[in-house]
Amino acid sequence: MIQASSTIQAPSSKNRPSLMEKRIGAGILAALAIVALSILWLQAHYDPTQWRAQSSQALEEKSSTPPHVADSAAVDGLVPMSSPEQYDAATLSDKIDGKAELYLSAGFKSMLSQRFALAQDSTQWMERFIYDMGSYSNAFAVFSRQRRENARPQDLTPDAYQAANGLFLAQGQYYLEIVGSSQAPELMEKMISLAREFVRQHPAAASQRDERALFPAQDLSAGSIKLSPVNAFGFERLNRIYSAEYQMAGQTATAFLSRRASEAEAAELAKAYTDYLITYGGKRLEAQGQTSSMQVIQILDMIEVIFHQGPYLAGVHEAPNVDLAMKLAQRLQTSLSNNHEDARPQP
Amino acid sequence: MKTQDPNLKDSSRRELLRRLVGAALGIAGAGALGLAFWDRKGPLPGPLGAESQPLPDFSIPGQPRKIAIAHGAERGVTVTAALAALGGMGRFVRPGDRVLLKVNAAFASPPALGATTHPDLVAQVARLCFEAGAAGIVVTDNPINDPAACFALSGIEAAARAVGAQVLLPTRERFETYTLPGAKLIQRWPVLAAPLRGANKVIGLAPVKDHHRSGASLTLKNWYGLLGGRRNIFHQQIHAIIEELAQLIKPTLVILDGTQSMMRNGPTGGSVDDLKPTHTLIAGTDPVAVDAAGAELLGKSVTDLPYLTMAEKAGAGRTDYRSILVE
Repeated sequence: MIQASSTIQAPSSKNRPSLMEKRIGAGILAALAIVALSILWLQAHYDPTQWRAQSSQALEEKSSTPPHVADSAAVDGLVPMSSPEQYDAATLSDKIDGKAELYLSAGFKSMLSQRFALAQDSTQWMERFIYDMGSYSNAFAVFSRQRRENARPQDLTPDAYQAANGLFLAQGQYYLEIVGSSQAPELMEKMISLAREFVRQHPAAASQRDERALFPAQDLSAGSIKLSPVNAFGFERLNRIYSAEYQMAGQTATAFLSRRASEAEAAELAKAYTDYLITYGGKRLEAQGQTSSMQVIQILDMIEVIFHQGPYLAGVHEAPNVDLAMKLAQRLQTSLSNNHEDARPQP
Repeated sequence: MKTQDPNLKDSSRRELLRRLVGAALGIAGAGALGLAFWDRKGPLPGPLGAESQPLPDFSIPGQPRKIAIAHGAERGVTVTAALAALGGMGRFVRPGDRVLLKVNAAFASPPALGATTHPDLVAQVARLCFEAGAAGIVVTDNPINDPAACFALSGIEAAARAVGAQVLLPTRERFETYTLPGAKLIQRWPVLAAPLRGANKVIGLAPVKDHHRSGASLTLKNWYGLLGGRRNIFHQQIHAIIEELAQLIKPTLVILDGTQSMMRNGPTGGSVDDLKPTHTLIAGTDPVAVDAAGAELLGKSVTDLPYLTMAEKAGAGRTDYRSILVE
């Protein structure tokens, strides 16, 4: 019996790992875990401007391939002045230098540029830039963040304006810029025709409902709504933040809104932003009309209000005083309640 | 009662040792292979020649650091006035000098957009150099876009040619592999050195612009146009590269054109609506001081542009421009 028992136990004893083996195994697993975490961290901090997998020869070959968007230059009285040039994330800064970061951080895919001149006068020319941003919200982000102060709305698309010597619009996933060499009316006329042709050739779905419709209309500064894809108000976790400027009693304040994946995420982000402000010297205040989900913070002589309502993170940024900040915050809250079923305050 | 076969115990220990040695050899082999493939210097920007000699110092020995500011809408008038306050172009350019004008011709955009050095400024500075006795004037830059198109469409080529200056395009043979002593970034990097080596005076001519990465593009950032290769990798360390550029080039004079300042959407701009008529032109022998004064045209201070303090610490100039301002 004893021998039999020993015979049975022996293989089991051989297969059972020793303490040393367990330690070595744990060490290897820990090393693999560190490698995996490092890869995940690097991917999360991926910088497209550093991507250099293609050889310059490959890039040159690529730039001579047909553009990915249909050529919309069929406008009478305009002649091409240069060949189309195409840029991707690796080469965008070869065209627009340090401004590339603005597009890359907003989801840039590719850009096609080409110059055209008036057939009758080659000294009058324009350059058209077609940015494929991958989605409508990305296109709106770069459109809104570069809006010129003296912009005149254009009826080409819901998001289009004319500046002194340029036309700028968002259409579907595209952001279009046409920049003229002068402010000559005949040049602007052709720029509008070129833009209209582009819009015709690239129809977009009906306007999408997004946070912009939820900003209260009263005292809203026209054309002031912006979308910050990343790092809004200097806080790196604030991404996809819509903001709008308000002029109230001669003073300026900014309201902001962002629909998150869930109510819990909105609440967590509201807390994180509040904590960030407190870390940098903000002080909590008590204000009349403040709801339970609302935080009022004074920082650098300005007032911030942060709250969450349903899946929305919302608030007021850089208001000059508490009264104005609360007035705007309450309007925003009301607008959310009236316009969105899932943003009604919980009883 | 449990017993253990001593042979099995020995076998197990031997097996463990064998596996340990195998694992150690595997790790050492992988490490050695990695070491063999490790390129300590990283990818180099194309085929490189031998290291080149240090670039000359173009500042005038014994000349004090000074800056002057002139106001007005006419570049020809304001640059003449600012230089007069510094003692006239004759203080910087002597008969027989070969002058290099380093312009900002980065983009193939019209002069009206303010993204490039204005042709009126190029023409007037070249004219003043010739009047001071310059034997030859070369205008150069390594633009972001196609060089020929940039010089043509910015109006710089026509302006230079009209006054007898020569435009040198950044052709491949005009670059040298250069290492700035003590630099972390400008190491074995292609630099547009031939125009510099052909000159004994260097004048930087830059517009005042907002810059999405660095905060502002002024006279120090203008030297970025002397770099070749895949220089956009430096955008991740923009302040450090500008600090090194401040040490790379010690110019005779720099001229900052804030007649129209690009207040937003820089450095390309895209609309004259991005410009503000600030009607200021700053000239001086201290690029850091000139840029510190120019930053104010953009509503920025020295603390908004970290590269200014970094350049000052590196000995390239002073940020307290008022202390050397010629009234």
